[in-house]
Amino acid sequence: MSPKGIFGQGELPSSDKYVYPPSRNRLVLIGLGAALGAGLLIWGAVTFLGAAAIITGPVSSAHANLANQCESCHSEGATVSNEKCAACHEEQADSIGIYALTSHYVYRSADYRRAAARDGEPTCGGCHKEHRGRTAPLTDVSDPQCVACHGVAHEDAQVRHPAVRAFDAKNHPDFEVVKRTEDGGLRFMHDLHVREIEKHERLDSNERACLYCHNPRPGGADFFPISYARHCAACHLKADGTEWVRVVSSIDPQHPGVMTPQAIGALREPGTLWTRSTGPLDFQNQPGEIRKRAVVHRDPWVLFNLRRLRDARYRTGPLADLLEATPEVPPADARVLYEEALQTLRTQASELESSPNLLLRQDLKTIQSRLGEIERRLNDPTTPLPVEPFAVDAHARRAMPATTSADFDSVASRLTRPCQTCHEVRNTAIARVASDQRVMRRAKFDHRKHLVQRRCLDCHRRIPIRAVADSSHATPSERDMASIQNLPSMSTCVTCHTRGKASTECVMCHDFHPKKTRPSEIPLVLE
Amino acid sequence: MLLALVVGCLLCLGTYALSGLWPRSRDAWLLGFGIAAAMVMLGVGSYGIRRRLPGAPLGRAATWLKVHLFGGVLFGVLVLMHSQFRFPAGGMNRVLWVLSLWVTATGLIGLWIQRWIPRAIASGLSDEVLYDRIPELVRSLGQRAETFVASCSDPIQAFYQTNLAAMFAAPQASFVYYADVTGGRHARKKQFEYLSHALGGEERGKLDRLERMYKAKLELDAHLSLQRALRWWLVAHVPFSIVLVVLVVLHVIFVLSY
Repeated sequence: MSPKGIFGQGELPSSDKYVYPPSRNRLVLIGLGAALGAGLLIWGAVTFLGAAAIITGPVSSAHANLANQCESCHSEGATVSNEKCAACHEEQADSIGIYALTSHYVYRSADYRRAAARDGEPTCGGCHKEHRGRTAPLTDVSDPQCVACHGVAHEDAQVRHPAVRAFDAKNHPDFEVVKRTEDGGLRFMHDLHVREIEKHERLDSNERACLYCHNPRPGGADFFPISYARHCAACHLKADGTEWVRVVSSIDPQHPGVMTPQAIGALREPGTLWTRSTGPLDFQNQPGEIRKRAVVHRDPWVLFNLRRLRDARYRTGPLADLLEATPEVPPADARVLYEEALQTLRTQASELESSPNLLLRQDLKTIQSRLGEIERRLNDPTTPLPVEPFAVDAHARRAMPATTSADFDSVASRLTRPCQTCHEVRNTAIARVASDQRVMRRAKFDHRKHLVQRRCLDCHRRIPIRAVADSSHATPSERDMASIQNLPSMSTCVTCHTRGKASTECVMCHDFHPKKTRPSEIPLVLE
Repeated sequence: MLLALVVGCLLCLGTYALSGLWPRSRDAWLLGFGIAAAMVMLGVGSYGIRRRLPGAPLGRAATWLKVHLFGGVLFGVLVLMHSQFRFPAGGMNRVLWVLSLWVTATGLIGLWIQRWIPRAIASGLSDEVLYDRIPELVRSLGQRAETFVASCSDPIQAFYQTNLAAMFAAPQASFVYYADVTGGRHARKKQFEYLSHALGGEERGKLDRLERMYKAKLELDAHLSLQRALRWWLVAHVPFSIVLVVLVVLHVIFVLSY
């Protein structure tokens, strides 16, 4: 019997001393011991078994062969440096380093001064997250990683970009090309042409007519450049003749006029071989004046005289004479001018090579020297191509009386009257036609993917083609000048590409790196 | 408390659903859920420190317990959100995931045990017994039963040896008490009733006393079984929680370092 008595029906003895429950520190000690054990297990597995993947997820399939070689990517206790990535990926660079990491910066900025990363640039590993499993896509870069830099407007000597936070009207600037005010250089009426093609070819949809000129490249992402021979010549094979223009023996600032083919041929200049095939029936003469009966596309007599008139009136660059049209191209497209100049020089060289006149050999040497210089520039993607050698300085007119200046305009206008049916004449030269239909430089767009759901004119509706093309009574609009290629603004895109509908992710339209699968784009961008 | 818990969880899940509107920001959202889970875990874990400082002016223990329970459930939800409701890749991540859910689940089970068992004991058992005294009391009861039965007639001694001796020898925990806190007492008393009919008046009184001892032993076994659950769920919760905290710290270090 307990001295403290009993309790309950079972007459159980009361405790004769205080009863202390066991300390719970034992559980804490067990927990700490288990944690220590787990820590040691992880350390041992990583150190002795090389099982680094137990720390985090397995590396992606692309890096699976490096799964247990931490040091391949990680420095001791540090994140993955760009140099570690470059150790393998630089080997993929071609001889001019297109795929080199430094070129990635050039690619993005299209600026050679940015051939090296700035401070605070994101690292490779910062965007391409690893250890998310074998099947996790490394290229799945999320918007915040882009917005981290591009979310704030920036402008300094090297970098200039607006603030871009998302793809909507408030947080993304409209396309640069839409904001441009210049036209395509062509006096053209889309609606009239669509109507005529539909009628002639008996087509049942406007879009089929579009494809007569806008021919898709293989893959359907974009289109081949427009070409007179392929797209215009079938209907516009021969133009009318010129108006009567004054004849001069040589064009100078005091004497606006044109030279006859005979006078031009007598100059024996490179590129004048065409004068030999010109017949007397091609021209009409009257005292002091001449006109060509029928002008062909890129008519050499018209273009030669137009160049001479321009040179007499404006100060021009040393290569300006090698172009058939004005040198109006965006700086990124300077390559187009050099390629045209190259083509002109090659034609001139081939003419001289076939000539028996040894006196012309010196001209050939000069031409070949210029050819070599242009080819060297074209083959060097590390040096930007300047447009200045082609420039026509419209503000630096040669000194001449106002009446003479008006005479120049009059002669140029009368000489190019048939050309003006389709072409603009600016600064005494045919305006350059923006024939390349790739207008986006930084963004990518795939027409084919979009044509599954939308028709051409659902988006390209700045020029009201449907309204005129579908009605024979409707009056065609004024010449639309192929205005900015009828490009829709961003507001058209956001009708589908908006939150909750089609994707609005940055990488949907923008690349950070050059694509190896589309190397042809790289030189274009690098310029 | 329950309402706040439901609202908290719904808010978290709503945030998760909203984050789906920015699929390209998924990584940032998931990282945010992970950071929130780690912060909540630290807050919840500080309850263990509060328990060891009973005299410190740190607010009411009951409030701390509520925060512990609320945060614990929220932690589990946030971990699931962090892992996109999927079993993650990587050994350590998987261990962390399983541990997080284990600790949350054992915590919830502990909450249920702490609410249900005291009520069951109070409603079904007549005596209150300290868990740590049960072996001693069973031993004492057994000795008294042996002594008492020695003074009884042969039928009672035979009955005791056949049916009760083994049971009085030691505490006997059983899952039966979770289903029926009396341990099927009424059914077991039948055997006493059968014997009682065959006994005379004095012996019947002794049998009644033996029956009371038997009932007390059943209650001690019920106490042992039920109070053991109150103690042992902590073994399934506390050490694992400590391992979880250490591994989460390692996880954060690895993420920041690599």
